[in-house]
Amino acid sequence: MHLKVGLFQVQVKKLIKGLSDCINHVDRSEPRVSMERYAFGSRTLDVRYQINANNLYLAETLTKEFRVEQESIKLFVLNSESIEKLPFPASIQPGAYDAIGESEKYGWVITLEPVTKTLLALEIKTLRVLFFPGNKIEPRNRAEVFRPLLHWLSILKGGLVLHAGAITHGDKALLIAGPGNSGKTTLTQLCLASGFSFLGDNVIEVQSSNDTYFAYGVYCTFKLRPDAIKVDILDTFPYEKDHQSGKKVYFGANRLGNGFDVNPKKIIGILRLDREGPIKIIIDAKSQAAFNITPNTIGQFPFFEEETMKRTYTLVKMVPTYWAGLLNPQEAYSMVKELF
Amino acid sequence: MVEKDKSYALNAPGVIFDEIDGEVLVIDLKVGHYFRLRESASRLWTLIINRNTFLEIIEISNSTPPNQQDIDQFILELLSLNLIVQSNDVNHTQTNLRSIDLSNLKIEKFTDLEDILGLDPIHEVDASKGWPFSGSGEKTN
Amino acid sequence: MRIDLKCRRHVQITLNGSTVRVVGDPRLKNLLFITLEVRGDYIKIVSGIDLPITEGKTLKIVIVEAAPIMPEQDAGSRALLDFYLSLQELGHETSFLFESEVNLEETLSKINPRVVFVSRPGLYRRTNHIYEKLNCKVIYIAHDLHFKRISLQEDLLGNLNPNTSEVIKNIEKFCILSSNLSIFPTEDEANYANELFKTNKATHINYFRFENAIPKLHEGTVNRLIFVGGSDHKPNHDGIIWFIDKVLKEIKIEFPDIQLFVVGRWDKELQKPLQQKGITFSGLLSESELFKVMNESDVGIAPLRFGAGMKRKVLNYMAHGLPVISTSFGAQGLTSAVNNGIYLANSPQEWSSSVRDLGEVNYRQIQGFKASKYINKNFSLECQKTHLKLLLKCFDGQ
Repeated sequence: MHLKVGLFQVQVKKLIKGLSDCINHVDRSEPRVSMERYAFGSRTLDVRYQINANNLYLAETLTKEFRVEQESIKLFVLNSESIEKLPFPASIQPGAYDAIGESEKYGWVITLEPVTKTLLALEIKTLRVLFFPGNKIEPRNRAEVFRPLLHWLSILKGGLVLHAGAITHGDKALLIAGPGNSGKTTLTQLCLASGFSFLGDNVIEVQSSNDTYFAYGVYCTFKLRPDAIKVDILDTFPYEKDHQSGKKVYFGANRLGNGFDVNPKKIIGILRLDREGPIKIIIDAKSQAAFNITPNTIGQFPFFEEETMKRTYTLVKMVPTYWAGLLNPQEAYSMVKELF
Repeated sequence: MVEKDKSYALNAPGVIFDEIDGEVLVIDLKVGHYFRLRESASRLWTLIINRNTFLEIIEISNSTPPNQQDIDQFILELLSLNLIVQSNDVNHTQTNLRSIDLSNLKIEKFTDLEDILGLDPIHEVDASKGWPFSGSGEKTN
Repeated sequence: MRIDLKCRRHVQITLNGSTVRVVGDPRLKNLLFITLEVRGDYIKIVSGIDLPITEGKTLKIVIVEAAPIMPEQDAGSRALLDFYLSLQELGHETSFLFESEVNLEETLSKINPRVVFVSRPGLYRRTNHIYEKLNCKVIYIAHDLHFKRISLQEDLLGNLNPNTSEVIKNIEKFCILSSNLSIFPTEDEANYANELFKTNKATHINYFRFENAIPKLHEGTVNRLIFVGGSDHKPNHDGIIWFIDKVLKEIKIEFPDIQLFVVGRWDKELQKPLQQKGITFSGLLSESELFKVMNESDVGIAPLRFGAGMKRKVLNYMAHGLPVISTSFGAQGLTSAVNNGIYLANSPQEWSSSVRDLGEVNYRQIQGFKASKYINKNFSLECQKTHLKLLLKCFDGQ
């Protein structure tokens, strides 16, 4: 058993060395790689494709506008040749969500799907990232591309990522959290159709500054069940069917104008939805809200779980929290407006 | 005593049988019991399933009276276990077996698969009334 | 009082023995989900969501079992109930038929179903001749590869007739090869069956579904372990004996006051040698009683030394927000949940170490959250329905 553990650690170290060499190499070969820049929560993502690397069509998911003063994270999309050169030991068994748990102590955070070699690796010290998409990225993953990375970067910066949507009015945002099928997407769409803007349907980054919490939009996409409500605006978005989940995924980045804003918005509250909830929006008990929101955030992606839990609890303590069940579509807009 | 001029058939579909490595395994799918017939017992089983009557079996096996009694008991036991039923079918597969040794006939019973194969895998069946009566004695409902 | 219903424009519901007919708002066409509020002597429709009619063709489906199911008593029955509910919710005309109650042949030919699901090898084998005469597709619900489990049991306990696994293997082979499709709860078993019997008819789907898995608030250290399972299932019986005999004393070195709570039907005679301080046999519990007991426990256990198929008990613990410690057999088909709510432990030392890790409350809370999240993501109502939809798609229009 000890021999096995020791061998595994040696293999991880070898992989880390390979990744470090790789990232230094691609970073130095800047003139030969193409670049695109996107807003990625509270930062800019500086995406650089190696020659012959697969196009990720990021402009369908991420907004090209960005604030200059945001920190910039370099992400290198590798080609197959580079991946083949990396020393992936045959016996590495990633953990849940393909995480290589041992990697964190060597200064990297890594997820690796061993069969397709889909790789996402963040060098913590420099915040540089290596990415290889493996096979074709499924629509539901493309709709939230690099999501584990968003989570890691956010935590390292002192914030967190919530499994929530958000609607905005002016410079304020209301987060909409809840388990699957609780009506988050329906409510977000209804508000969007009624004149609100939105920051996302399923993923929101939260950062704080002087005890004030701010929400950042990341993905301008919607994932809808076949039987879900769909507002007219979505008719103009390209979509793809995700066969595994049966959902239709709408890609709306760079199409909504002011409807999707990458600037930070002050969080005025969290509305927790729950199918068993009341038919009107009421104040939610803080402990209940924290307790119910947290599992949706924990277990999303590996690493930094304890920080995520603690920060969720802190966030909920600091902002107003509300609770509702399935709201009458005709009344939802006016109920939500009152919260602003 | 069995009727000497009657033939028998497998009590299908509730009973099936398999030959594995020269042994015959007869499975009662309703109760979940199975029976192993080895050597002479498996040979006799083959003769019975091929619709040979008692008289034909005696002739084929060239058996002596004490052995004939054993054969008679064997068939009666198979009938009591509901593994075979009397058949009106007189046509049967001709067998080339001659002077077969049918001594030392034995039916081994196993109940290991009762809970997997038995008719009522979830509930208990009433021991005295049997299926479809539940352990409480009432018809399963 | 609030009632959530699926209905068309009109709905008939029964409240406290009286039938009430509710006529929906005529604007609510094709309404499939409404919330009603009972206010005194009338019912108001307070919200609704417009949903389209079920996609795809409606099929007439029958699920055949040997005798009436008792889902609160065994996982196999529960799986059948879950299938039934999912199929109904997908819009298919689904019913149960019990061999012990009706003349199967007669009833099936009257119903004339498009698809028949047949549960368990014994039943399938003895009724196969009926389905051959019907113009229908037959799906064999295998539950698991019984011969594999029996063979493992024999290796471990050595008390079975050597023919037993061979007998059941041949029967299972027949079931798999003669049905249109065979369904297993784990991908591994389906793949194994396909390879062994040289076919491609075995596939895997979620056998179980859980409504919203609820996280649990964890406090303090690990005080109570819970095991759900009756003694009539041999892996449960063997597992608990081994656990009490070999593992618990190792755990008690660091956690001397730890309790073990065993839920399920256990023969009193079998309990006697296992009785000791800190061990409770509760017998069968209702859903609400089980909920309470789960909430009072800290960790779910699955100390199974042999077995096959996916263990509903493990999923059930996770659905109640409990992290799980399990042997490899207990966690079959759930490798993606390992370190994601499930701890693997095969030796007494590994068990002790796992309990130690989970003794830290923040860590246990995180594992508990992960466990409930895992269920919501992978074993929701929608997940099972999606699997069934895909399964039945191949029978559309045939």
